[in-house]
Amino acid sequence: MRNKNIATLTIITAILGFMMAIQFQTIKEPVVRDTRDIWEIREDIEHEQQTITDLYKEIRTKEEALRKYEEAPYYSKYEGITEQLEELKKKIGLTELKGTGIILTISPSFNQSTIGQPYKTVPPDLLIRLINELYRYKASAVAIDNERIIVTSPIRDVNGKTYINNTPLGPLPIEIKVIAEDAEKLHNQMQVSQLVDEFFALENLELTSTLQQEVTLPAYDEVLRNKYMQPVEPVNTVKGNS
Amino acid sequence: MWLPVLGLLIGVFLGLLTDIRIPDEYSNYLSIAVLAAFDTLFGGIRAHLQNTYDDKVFVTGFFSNILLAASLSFLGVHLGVDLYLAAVFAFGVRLFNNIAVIRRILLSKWSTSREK
Repeated sequence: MRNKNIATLTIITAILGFMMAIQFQTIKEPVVRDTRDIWEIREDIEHEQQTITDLYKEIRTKEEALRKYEEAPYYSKYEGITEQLEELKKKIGLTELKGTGIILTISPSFNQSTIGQPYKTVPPDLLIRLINELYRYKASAVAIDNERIIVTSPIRDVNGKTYINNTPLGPLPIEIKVIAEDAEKLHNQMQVSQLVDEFFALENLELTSTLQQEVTLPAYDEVLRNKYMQPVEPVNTVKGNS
Repeated sequence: MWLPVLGLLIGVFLGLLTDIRIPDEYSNYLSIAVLAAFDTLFGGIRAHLQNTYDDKVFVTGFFSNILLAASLSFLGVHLGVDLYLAAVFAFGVRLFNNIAVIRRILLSKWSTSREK
């Protein structure tokens, strides 16, 4: 082979080697190190154990329900189903609910009168944040201005007005009724909540919380739309149901 | 004859030293380019063993194959067709063919030298 040929071949192989090295480096991913310390790992384990106990609890209740069905005679199976249906309705907010809780009142704050501009409505973002805060503090059911909040409740701005469950929010002051297992704790937490300090002060609104022995929440009164749920087709067995 | 191998090592070394990384979305192009380069290199070795080696053909083939493969896969990405796979297939088949031919030539050379 002539010298010139070898020189070109060397250059070509050098280029090839360079490309391969870059490709190799690109493909090779940096090793992700576990940088959690022992406390964080312990916390994670605790969290997972909590999940396990919750799951076991759920399995137990479901097994209980199943056992009831199996043991019950035919006519009372219907009863069991209606009972469970009521339970589920209660869970998602289709029934009236009574219990200890708090009543939050949103009213215009004092400095508004000095400015002289009436406050029209509570912005939806603010309400959503408030609801999130309430649920974070273990509220079990919420109703804003007598509109029960369920999982799919829309809170949105329509032409400058806030609509909840497709009903416009009434004029201020607005009452938010909340039922919680530990109402007093929720009350205290709402007293010191940052939301009250910052957010409502910025919007010229005042949020006051009062503890109530009994709060009555209205039921969700609109039709629930479920696009994605269908009844299960009954399975045909040869000898009928055993 | 050892100079090309040395060149390869120098290239790898330089590449590892510079610590260049290609963004993930372009790594496909680079891999196909590497494949094309390999194909051309083995083609060149085969041609050399068969005494049909031409410098110009080799160099132009090297660069044009790389560019063609990369642009083909680029076109594939924009058309939504995995032309990238077509290039991988074509180069892969050729690579194996070339290696097989090289092996046969080397084998026959070795056996003739033993007979002497």
